Amino acid sequence: MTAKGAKGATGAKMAKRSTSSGGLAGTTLRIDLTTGRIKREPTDTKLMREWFGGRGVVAKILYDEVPRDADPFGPENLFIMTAGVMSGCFIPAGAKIEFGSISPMTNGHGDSNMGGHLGPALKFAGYDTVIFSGISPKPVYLFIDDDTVELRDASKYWGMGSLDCEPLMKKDLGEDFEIATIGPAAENGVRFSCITHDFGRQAGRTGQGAVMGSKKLKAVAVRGTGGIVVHDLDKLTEHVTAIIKRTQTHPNMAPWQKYGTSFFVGWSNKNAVLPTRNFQTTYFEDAEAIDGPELVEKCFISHKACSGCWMNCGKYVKAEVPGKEKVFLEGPEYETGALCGSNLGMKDINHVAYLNWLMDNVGMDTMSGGGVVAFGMECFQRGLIGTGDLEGHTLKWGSVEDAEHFVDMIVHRRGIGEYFAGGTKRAAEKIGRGSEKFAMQVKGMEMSGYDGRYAPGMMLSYMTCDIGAHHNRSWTITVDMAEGQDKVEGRAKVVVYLQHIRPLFDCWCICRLFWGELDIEPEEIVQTLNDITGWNIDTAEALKTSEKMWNLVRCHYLERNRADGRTFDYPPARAWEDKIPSGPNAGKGLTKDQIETMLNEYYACRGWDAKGNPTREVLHDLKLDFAADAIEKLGLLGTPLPNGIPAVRGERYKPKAF
Amino acid sequence: MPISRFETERYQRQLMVDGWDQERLKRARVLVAGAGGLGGLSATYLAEAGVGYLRICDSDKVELSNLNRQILYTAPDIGKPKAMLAAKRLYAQNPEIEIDAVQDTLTETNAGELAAGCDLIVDGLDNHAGRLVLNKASFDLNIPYIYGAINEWLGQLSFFNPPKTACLACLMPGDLNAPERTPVFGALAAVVGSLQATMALKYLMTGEIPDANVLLIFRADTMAFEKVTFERRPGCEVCGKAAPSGTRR
Amino acid sequence: MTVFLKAGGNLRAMIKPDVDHYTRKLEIEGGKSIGEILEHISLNPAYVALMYVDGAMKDLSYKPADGETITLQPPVSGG
Repeated sequence: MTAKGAKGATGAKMAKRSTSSGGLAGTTLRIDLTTGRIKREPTDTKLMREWFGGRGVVAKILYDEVPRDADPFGPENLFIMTAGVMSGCFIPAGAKIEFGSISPMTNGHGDSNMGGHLGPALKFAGYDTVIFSGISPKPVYLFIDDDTVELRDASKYWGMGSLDCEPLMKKDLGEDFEIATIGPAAENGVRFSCITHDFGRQAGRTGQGAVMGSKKLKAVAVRGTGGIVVHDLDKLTEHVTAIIKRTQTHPNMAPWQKYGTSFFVGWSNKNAVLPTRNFQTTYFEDAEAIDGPELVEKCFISHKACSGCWMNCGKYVKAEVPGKEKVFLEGPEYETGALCGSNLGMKDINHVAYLNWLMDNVGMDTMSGGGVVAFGMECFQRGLIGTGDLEGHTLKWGSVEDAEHFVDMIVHRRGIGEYFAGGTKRAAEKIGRGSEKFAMQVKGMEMSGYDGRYAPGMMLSYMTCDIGAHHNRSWTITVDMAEGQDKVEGRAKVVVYLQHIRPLFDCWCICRLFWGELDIEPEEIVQTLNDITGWNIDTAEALKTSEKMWNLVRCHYLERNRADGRTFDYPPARAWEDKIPSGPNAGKGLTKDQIETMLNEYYACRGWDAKGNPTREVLHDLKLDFAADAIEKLGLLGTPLPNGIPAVRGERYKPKAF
Repeated sequence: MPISRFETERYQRQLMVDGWDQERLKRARVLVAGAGGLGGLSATYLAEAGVGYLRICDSDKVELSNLNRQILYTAPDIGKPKAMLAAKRLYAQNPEIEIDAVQDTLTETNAGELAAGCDLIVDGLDNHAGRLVLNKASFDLNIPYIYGAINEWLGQLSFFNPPKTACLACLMPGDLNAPERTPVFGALAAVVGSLQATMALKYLMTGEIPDANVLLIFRADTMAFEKVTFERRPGCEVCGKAAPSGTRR
Repeated sequence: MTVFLKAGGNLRAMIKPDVDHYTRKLEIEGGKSIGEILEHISLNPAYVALMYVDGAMKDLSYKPADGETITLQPPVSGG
């Protein structure tokens, strides 16, 4: 198994870095883009240990260092890139890199990660974390070649699409450089802009690309040739090899390898949770035409994998739309297939793939992008916007030309594109006329590709996820299927548990698709972590640390947004006002009472008060007294619960690996 | 800055007003110092008119005794910091504009930073000492300051832009011996706040001082408006040394 | 000569109005300044923030003419 970066297999020099130990490369970079100053520090191992790296250190650094009134697009926001302890240690699906900053979508902690090869490359070059502050006076990119770290002029690349820019940079710098770029959407301040790497991997959610763009940071280019020292290489090899052998024959492995997640489109449709035409309904008549098998048959060129992973869930494909140039892209994976597919009424896999390519190249998150275009299409359907607003174009369901033109208006913020460049929440605020009801977002970020009206756990997940309506913190669709879609009671404690265990992957920078979906026990993951780091933790400590992060992020959110937490935890009114109108789940839906019940139960499970504010008791238990003091000053500390907080928050649940 | 179709519809009625310049308003940046009786009202009308950027500064939390006159808040807000609440309410009123909330006390040290980059300062304070701080920042940064104040049945306002006009310290340089709790009621705050907003809009759209060196007094006791003219005071500690053309010795 | 004092707010009671609710009529010698007039009626000038005659701002040194009305403005500083 070869991986980019460490060239041991080809005989090139591989140095063991003196700074590396316990899975960490050993150096942290602090870069002030305003002055261009680059500072090296030894990686704070205590911080890594306490907050686990990845999402955890992002949360703590943002909490400590970003002023509460800092503009996400301003110089005081930090942009953090960190590879986590497990990334680059040659375990399967262990190649993630995590990005974080105050999100311009939610005005709170934001983080997003991606696979590919950049995470390992950063570690091989000797760096665990890079923290950017300030704003560069001119477009720059970060150049790292082992010990060389420079900010280089990016004016040649500024304005280029991500998919056009990366190959050019590889040509200029060398094929073995790992490159991540932003596109013109981020350069123009479109709030839901993403970061793209290895041609088709994105850190899509929370607008991390937009923050990069605001700092005039066009790209990151990294080459690393060093090695990483782990705590116990023999034990690590033994444990991981056993897991690899065992999972090779897991029933999920073959479909992941063949289709990636694209075949979920058919699954979701069959279970009538597939968002269709802006979540108006949940069953799409033409789902088969945009499903995984169709993708593989019509568009497939080859599989693609991240560093050290043979699940190769990535699909490198072509998209051919009559009258347009043939384009090449990686995808569409499930979320894009749903949110740019059925959610836009697209009936041809080539159209979905084309839109995927379009959004990847301009550099916008396909999930929020799909949500924003869908919102626009419903506004057009309802006559809230017209051809006069769209430069003479229509914005009809299923029209790839209309969608493409609309995306162009958004990227360049022309006319009404200005409204939509802020995401559906801000667009609805400006358009008004009841459109807020179908702006499918929570806290300012668009919903993932599952309709929660007949999946209460999923709806609760969207409502309570820290970064907005995202599925990845607590993906509960299979829980809802297993435990009953009509029942809302009892769902909260499972959501809480999943919100603790799943984000651990974002801390340790490994991929859920392998580690979460192949019946690998949490204890085995923790064991792997211990082999790498020597931390000697158990699952309970891991979960509690994750809970600590969750509460810290919540407190940070309250401090920045200055209102009771419950205010921000509601879904759009479609969630309870519109029953599913058609398909197998026709007539189903949630009531407002059920929404309130779920929130009440959730807060009680978490040791928060009915206003959604953490109590001192739970914060004290998590050693977050400083956070309690801070929200108390704002009158946002939770009222003590009459019966105290639960001893353990969240109940362990093993979702059926579907 | 081009006006969108939605903005055209929103501002339809005012676009018909003779001399109205909506694009110029959209480019304007205004600091409203204080989001209480005066500031809450003037900020509301500036927001509704489409002033492109408002910076709202207030250090207080909402109290029950505010609610006889402060239109931005309601009973559930009691105990909460005003600035962010004000910004949220104003944004709901007009999401086409940009609003920054600053929860901070106005002092000599931060007044400059608070007013930086603004075209106009609108008075929403409730004490004379604070107004003198604003006045000094206004002179130092050459940003006009629309003074406004109320007490019982009296309200007064003036457009200060020294050295083109006198400044507040020319008229009332010292502490005013006012009681700590000033008797005020909402309707009068609204009269003065609206006049301030009107004056602000006129200035922002024309660049001309609406009524220089005039204190406009509204006497609600006799329902009379009075205009009182004044001049720069040569010995003024704030603007006395500046020549009328604006150059400083 | 005759001068009139007019005041609102808390100054109103202090000038002891006799002509109407707001106005006090005074018979004084000519050539007196506002400052001297206030002293004459035992009104501490510290309570007067501004003063004006005929729509023009004056100060304590101003000497009113026969028949003029001097308006005394109390501190107006609320918001």
